[in-house]
Amino acid sequence: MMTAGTRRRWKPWKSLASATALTLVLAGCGGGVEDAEEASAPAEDEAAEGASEEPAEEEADPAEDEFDLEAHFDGQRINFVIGFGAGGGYDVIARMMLPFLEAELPGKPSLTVQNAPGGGGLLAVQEVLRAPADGLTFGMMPLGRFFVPDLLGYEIENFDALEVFPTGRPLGDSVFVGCVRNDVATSWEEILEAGERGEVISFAADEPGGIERSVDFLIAAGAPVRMVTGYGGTAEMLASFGRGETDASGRCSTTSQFQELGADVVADPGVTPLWWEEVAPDEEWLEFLGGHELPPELTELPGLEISDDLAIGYQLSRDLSGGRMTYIRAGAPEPVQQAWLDAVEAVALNPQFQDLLATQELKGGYGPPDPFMEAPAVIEGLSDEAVGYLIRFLGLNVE
Amino acid sequence: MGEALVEAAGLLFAWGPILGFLVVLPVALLSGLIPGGGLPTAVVILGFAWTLDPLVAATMVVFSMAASDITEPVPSILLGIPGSRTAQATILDGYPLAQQGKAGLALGASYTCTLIGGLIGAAALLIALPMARHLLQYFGAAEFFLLALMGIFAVGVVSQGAMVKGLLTSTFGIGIATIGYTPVGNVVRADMGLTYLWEGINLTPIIVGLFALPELIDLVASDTRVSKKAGSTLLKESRSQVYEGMLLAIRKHKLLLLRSSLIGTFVGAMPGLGGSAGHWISYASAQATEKGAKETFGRGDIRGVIAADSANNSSDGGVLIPTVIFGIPGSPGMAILLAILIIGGTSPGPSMVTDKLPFTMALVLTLTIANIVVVPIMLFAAPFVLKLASIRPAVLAPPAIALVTLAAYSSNFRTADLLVAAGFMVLGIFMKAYGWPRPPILIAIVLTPILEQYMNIATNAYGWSMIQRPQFLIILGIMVVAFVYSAKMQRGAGSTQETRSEPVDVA
Repeated sequence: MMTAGTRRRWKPWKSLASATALTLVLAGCGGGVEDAEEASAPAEDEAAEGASEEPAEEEADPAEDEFDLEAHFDGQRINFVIGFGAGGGYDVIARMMLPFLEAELPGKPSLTVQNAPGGGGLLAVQEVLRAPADGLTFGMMPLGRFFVPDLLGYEIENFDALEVFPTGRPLGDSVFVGCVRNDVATSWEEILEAGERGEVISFAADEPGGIERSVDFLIAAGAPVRMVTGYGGTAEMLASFGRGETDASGRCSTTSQFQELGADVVADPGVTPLWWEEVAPDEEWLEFLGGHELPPELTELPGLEISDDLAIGYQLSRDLSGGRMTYIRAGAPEPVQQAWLDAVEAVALNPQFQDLLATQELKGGYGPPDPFMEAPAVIEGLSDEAVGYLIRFLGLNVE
Repeated sequence: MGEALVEAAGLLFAWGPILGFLVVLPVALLSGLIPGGGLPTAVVILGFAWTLDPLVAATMVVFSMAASDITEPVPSILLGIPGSRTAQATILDGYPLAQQGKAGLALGASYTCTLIGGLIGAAALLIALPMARHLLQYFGAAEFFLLALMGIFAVGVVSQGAMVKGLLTSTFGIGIATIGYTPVGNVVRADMGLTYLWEGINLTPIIVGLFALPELIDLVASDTRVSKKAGSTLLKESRSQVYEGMLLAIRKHKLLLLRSSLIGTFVGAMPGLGGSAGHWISYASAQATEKGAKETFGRGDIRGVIAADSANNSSDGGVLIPTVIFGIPGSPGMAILLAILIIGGTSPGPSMVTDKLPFTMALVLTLTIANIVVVPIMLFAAPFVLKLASIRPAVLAPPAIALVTLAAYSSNFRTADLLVAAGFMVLGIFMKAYGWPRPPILIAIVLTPILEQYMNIATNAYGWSMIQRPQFLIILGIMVVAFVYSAKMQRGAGSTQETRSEPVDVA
C-alpha cells in the first residue's frame, strides 16, 4: 500500500520521468541530420522507383526540353549543405552565393545554408547523397578528399563517387607565390647551396595536401625544404613567417590578406619570390614584394628531379583537389543538372560576385567540373607510383 | 588615439549600433543563462552580415559575446554547471557557496569581477593596441605550447589532496581529446569505425553529461534544494549578500581581482590559445599564492570566484587582439567576428590600428558598454535569479534537465551527442559519488588539442633551440617556481573538491 513516505520517495522519480518525457518530446520536434536520413529513406525509394521508371518516361517523352524547369524549382526551398561550421571559408562563400544562385536558377527558388560539420566534411556529402535525386539539395566541399579515394577503391562509408554530380567551382585559380625571407636566402640557388651544406628551409603548412602540395612536390623532387605542419590557417602561417618561426611561405599570394599580414616581413627583412603556381603574378605584385623579376613556374625550378609519375601525380592533384566544388546528387533529370551547371557558371562569372570574392581574398573565375567527370578513366590508367604521389599531394589518409 | 576614440564613440552612438545592441541584449542574456550552452547568437548575426552595416554586425557579435560571458557564471554558481567556454572554474567555489546559502555573495562578487575584469581587459586592449603587433611577434609556438601546458598543470592545483585521482582523470580527458582528426595531419585516431568520432567528441554533451545531469539528478534523488536556506531567508538576505560580495571584490581582494584580470587579458591575447586557459591559470595561480587557499579553495572561498571570473571577462579584450591584428580568432565567436569583418571588406592586420583604428576602438568600446549595461541589470535581477537556489528539485529539475539536454543536442543536432551525454552522465554520477574530481577532465579536453598543435609546431620549427629563447625561459621559470611552490603547499592539503565539506568563512 502506498504510504506517505512511499509517496514522498516516488515524487523525485516522477520529476525525472517527466523531465525525460519533456526532453524527448522537445528533441523530437527538432530537425537534424538524422531527420534528413529518415526523410530521405522513403524519398530514396521514390528516387529508385523514379529511376526504374525513367526508361519508360523517356520512351513516353523523349523531348527533355519539355521538362518544366520553372515548375520544378518554383517555390522550392533548397538546402545548400556545407561540411564545415559557420564563419569558415566555405560557409562565407556559400552565403555569398545564395542571392546570386536564387537569381540564376529558373523558378527563383530560395536557398538556405545548412552547416553539417563532421567527418571532415563527409557527413555533409552523405546528407546530399541521401537526398532525393531531384537536384533540390545542393552542396559544396573539397571533393577530392573523398572522390579520389573512392575511385582508387578505398571504402568510404555511404559514399560513392559515381553518385556525385559536380556542378562547377565558383572560383578561379588563385595566384600563389612561394617566397623566402631575405635573412634566410635571396634566391633559389642559395637554397640549393644551403641544401648541399645540409641545411633545410622550413615552410609553414596547416596540413599535408591542399595549397602546400607545392612544398610537398618540392620535397618529393629532392629540394632541401621541409614542412612544419599544424598551423590553423593562412593567418597563423603568415604570423609565423613574419616572426621568423618559419623561413618561407607558399602563400605569398596576391591578396590583400598577404598585403596586410605580410607587410611587415616584406618591409623587413624583405622577401624574395621563388616560384609561382598555376597563374603568374603580375608586375604590380612583384613590385610589392620588393621589385623582383618574375620567378620560374614551380615545375621549372632548377635542381629538381621530376619523374614522369611525379609530374602526373602533381598535375592530377591540382585538377582533382576539388576545393569548393559544388555538386548535387547524380541522377537528377538532365535539364536540372544543366540548370545547375549554368547557374554556377553564371554566378562565378558575375562581376558583382567576383567583387564579393575579392573581399575574401579569392580570385573570381569558373572551375569547370570536367576533371571530375574524366577522373575515373584517368585514374584507371595511372601507375602505382603516380597514384602514390596523387594520394600524397591530396593529403589523403589512405594506404 | 584620442581622436580615434572620439570618432569611435561617434560611430557607436548612432541608431544602427544602438538598435543592434537592444536586439541582441535579451538573446545574449538568455544564452548565457542556459546551462551547458546557449543560443548561437553570433551565427544568427552572421546570416545577416551581408545586409547589415559591417560596424553594426561586428559590434553586435562583440556585444553578444560579452553579455553572455557575464551571465554564464549564473548556472555555474546556482546549479554547478560550467559554461561551455568560460565560467568553468567558477563552479569550484561558486557552487559550494550557493550550497551554503551564500549564492548572493558569489553572484555579487562574480558580477563585480566581470565588470571590472571586462573594463581592465578593454583598457589593456586600448593601451596595447598600438604596440600589440610588435609585442606578440616575440611569442611563438614554443611559448604558446608552454602556456597551454601551464593550463594543464592547473589539474594538479584544482585536485588538491587528490593529486593522483586528478592526474588519472586528466589523463582520461587527454585520451578523450585525442579522438578524431589529428591537428597536424589527415589521420583519424580512435574513431572505432564511427564517422561521428572523426571530428572528436563535442564539448557541450560532455559538460552536460559530466556536470549538469549528475548535479540535477543528485538534487532530485536527495530531494534537497541547492541552498540549505529557506527561500524566504534567501530572498531577505539576497540584497545584502550581493552587496557584500561586491565589496569583497572591490575592497578586500582588489589586488587579486587586478592580477586575475591581467592574467586573463594576457592569456587571451595569445594567438590561437583563446580565453579557455586564462581562467584556469588564474584560478590555479590564486590557489597557489593566496594565503590559506590550499585549505579553503574548492569549499566556497570567494577568492576562487574572484580569480576565475575576473579572468573570464578580461579575456574578451585579450582575444580581440589576435583576431583583429593577426586574423587569428581566439574563440568560435571571434571566428564569426572575423568572417563578418572580411565580408564587410575589412581585412584584419596592421591597418586595424592605423587607418581603421576608429573601427577597432568601436569594438573595444562595445566591450565596455556591454559590461556597463549588463552587469547592473544582472545585479538588479540577482535576488530573483537567486530564487533558483531555493526552488524545490521537483519543480527545478524537469525544465533544467530538458534545457541542458537540448543544449547537448543543439550543438550539432546529432542524436549521438545525447548518447555521449548519457554515457558521461553515468561516469559523472560515479565520480561525484566516490570523490573523483571532474574539472581536470574538462581542462584536459579543452587544452589538449592546443597543446598538441603547438607542441608539434614548436618541436618541428625550433627543435631543442626553443630552450634558448628568452621568452620561453621566462615562462618556463614562472611555471617551475609556481609548481615547486604549489607542491610544497600540497602537503597536508584537505579533502578533494568533490565532497560537500564544511563551509569556509573567508569572506
